[in-house]
Amino acid sequence: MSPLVIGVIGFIVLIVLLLLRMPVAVAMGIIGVVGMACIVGWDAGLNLLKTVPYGVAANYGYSVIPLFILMGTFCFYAGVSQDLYYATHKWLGQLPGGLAMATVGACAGFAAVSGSSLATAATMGTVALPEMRKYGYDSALATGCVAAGGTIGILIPPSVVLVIYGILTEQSIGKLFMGGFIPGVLEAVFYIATIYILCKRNPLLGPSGARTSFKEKATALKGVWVVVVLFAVVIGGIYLGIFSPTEAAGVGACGALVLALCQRRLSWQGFNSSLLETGKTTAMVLTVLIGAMLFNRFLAVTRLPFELASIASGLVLNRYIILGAVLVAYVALGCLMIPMAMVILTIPIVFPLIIALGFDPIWFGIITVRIFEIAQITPPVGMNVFVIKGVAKDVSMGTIYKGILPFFLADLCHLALLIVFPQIVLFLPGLMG
Amino acid sequence: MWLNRIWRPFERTVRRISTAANIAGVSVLVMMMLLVTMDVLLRYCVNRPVKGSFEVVEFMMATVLCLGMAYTGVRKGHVAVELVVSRFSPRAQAFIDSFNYLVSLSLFFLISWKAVAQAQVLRVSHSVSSVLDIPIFPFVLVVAFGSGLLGLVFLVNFIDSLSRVRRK
Repeated sequence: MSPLVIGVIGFIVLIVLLLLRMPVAVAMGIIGVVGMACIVGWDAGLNLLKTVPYGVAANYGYSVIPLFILMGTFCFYAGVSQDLYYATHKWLGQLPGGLAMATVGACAGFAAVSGSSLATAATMGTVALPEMRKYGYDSALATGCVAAGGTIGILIPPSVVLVIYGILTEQSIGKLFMGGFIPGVLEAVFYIATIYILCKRNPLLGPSGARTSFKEKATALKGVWVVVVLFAVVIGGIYLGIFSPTEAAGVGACGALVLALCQRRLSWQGFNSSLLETGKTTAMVLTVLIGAMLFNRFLAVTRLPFELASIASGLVLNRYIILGAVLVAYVALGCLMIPMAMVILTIPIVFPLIIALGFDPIWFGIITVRIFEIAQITPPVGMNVFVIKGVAKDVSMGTIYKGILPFFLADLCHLALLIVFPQIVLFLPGLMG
Repeated sequence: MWLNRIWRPFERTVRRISTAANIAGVSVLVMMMLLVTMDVLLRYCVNRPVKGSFEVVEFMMATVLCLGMAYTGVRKGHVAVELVVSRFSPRAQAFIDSFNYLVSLSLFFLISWKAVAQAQVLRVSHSVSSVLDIPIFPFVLVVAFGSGLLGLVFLVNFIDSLSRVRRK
C-alpha cells in the first residue's frame, strides 16, 4: 500500500473512532502511532511517543493558553460579567429591546478579557435571562440573544482558539488577535441591529426597561474599568509590540488577580475554583494537541495534505467554490464538538489547501473561528444552546432555536461581509507591520 | 466481591492522587504567572530580565500539563463526540466505552513507558537546558508520571464500564 492510501484509511478510521466517542486526543494519537508504524515501522511509530508528548508539554509558545484561560476565570469568578451586564443594562435598558442589546454588549465586553465562550453564555444566561423575564421579553428573543452573544467570546481577543490556530499554522498570534478585533465588534453590532429591527417590527418582543438617570449610568461604569484596563494593557501591549503573547497573558492573569483582590471581589474559594478549572481546561486542550501532533507526524509522512492541496489548486473551479465547500463542511463538523478540538483536527488538512488557493492565512483564521461560532448555535448540536437550556429549563429547545434564527441570519450576512471585504479583517494586522 | 474489597480503595486512591497532582500543577501555574510578570516588569523597569525565564517557563508548562491530565480524566473532561453513541442502548454504550477506555489506557501507558526510556537516555547523556544548566530528564519523568496516572484513571473507567456491560 502506498503511504497516501494508508493516509486516507487512517483518516477514515479516525472519523469512525471519533463517532464512537473515543476521546479526540486518544483517537488522533493512536492513529498517528499505528499509521506511522504501518508506513515506516513499529520502532518509528513508538519512537514518536518518546519525543512528541514532551515536545508539546514543554513548549514556551503553548504557555499562552493556560495564562489566558486563567485571566478569564479570575475575571469570571470575580463577577466581572455581572458588572458588565449591570452597566450595559443601565445604558441601553430603556430602549426597545434594550435588555437584549445589553446582553450582547456585556458578552462582547467579557470576550475582551476571556478566551472562550461557553462560560460567557452560562453567566449571561443566569444574570440576563431573569431580568428579561421580569420585563416581559419574548422567551425566544431572550434565549436567542444570550446563545448568540455568547459566541462572540472566541473572536474578540484574547481567544484561545486563535492561539491554537496560530500555533498550528505558524502565524503570528498578535496579528490574529488584531484580525479578530474589528470583526468581533462588528458581530456585536450586527446582533444589536438584529434586535433593533425585531423590536421595531414587533415592540411586544422586547418592551423598554426602566429609565435611568445620568448619575446611575455614570456609577454603573465603575464595574467596567477593570475590563478596559486589562484589555488595553494586554491587547494594546501585544499591538505595540511591548509584550509577546505569553508575556501579555501572564501580565493579564496577574493583573486580573490583583484587580480582583483589590476590589475584594475574589474569595479564597473563587481563587481555588479558578485555578482548578484552568488546570482542567489546560490539560484538556494540550492533551488534544499531543494527540494532534502525533497524528500530524503521520499525516506528513503520507503526504496527504500536500496531495489534496495540489489537486485543489489544479482544479479549474473558482477558488470561492472550494472555500464554500470547506465552510459548509466546517459548519457540519463544528456541530460535533467544541471549536478548539475542531480547529486542531481540521487545520492540518485544510490549511495547506487554503494557502494553495491563495487565501490569506490570517483572514482564514478569523473565518474559521467565525464559522465555528456559527456551528455552536446551529442544530442538531449547538453547544451554546445546551448551555442556555441548562439555565432556562422551562424554555423548549424549539423556542431557543427559533430565537436564534434571526441571529443566525445576521451571522450569515456578517460572514459574507468578511469574505467579500477581507480588509475588515486585515486592516489592523496590516498596521502592525 | 473482590471488586468491592480491592478495587474500590484502588479507585479512590487514583482519584485522590489525580486531584492532588492537579493542585500541585496549578500551584506551578501560579508561579509561572508570577515569573512571566516579574520578567516583564524587571525588563522594563530596571532593564534586567530574569535569566533563563524562557526555559523555566517551558519546564513549568510541562509540569502544569502533565499533573493536570489525570484530573481532567477523572472529571471526564477530555473532549469526545457525543452525537452518535449517546443514542445507543446503555449496554451498547458501556461496551463501546470499554473499548475506548482500553485503547486510551494503552496509549497513555505506552507514552509513560517511552517517556521513562527517554528520561534514562537524557540522564545518561547529561542533557541540560541551555542557559541555567537544569537537567531535562526529571521533567520527562513528570510526563511519564502524568500519563501513567491518566492511564490508571482510564483503567478505573475501563473496569467500571465493563461491569456495566455485564450488569445488563
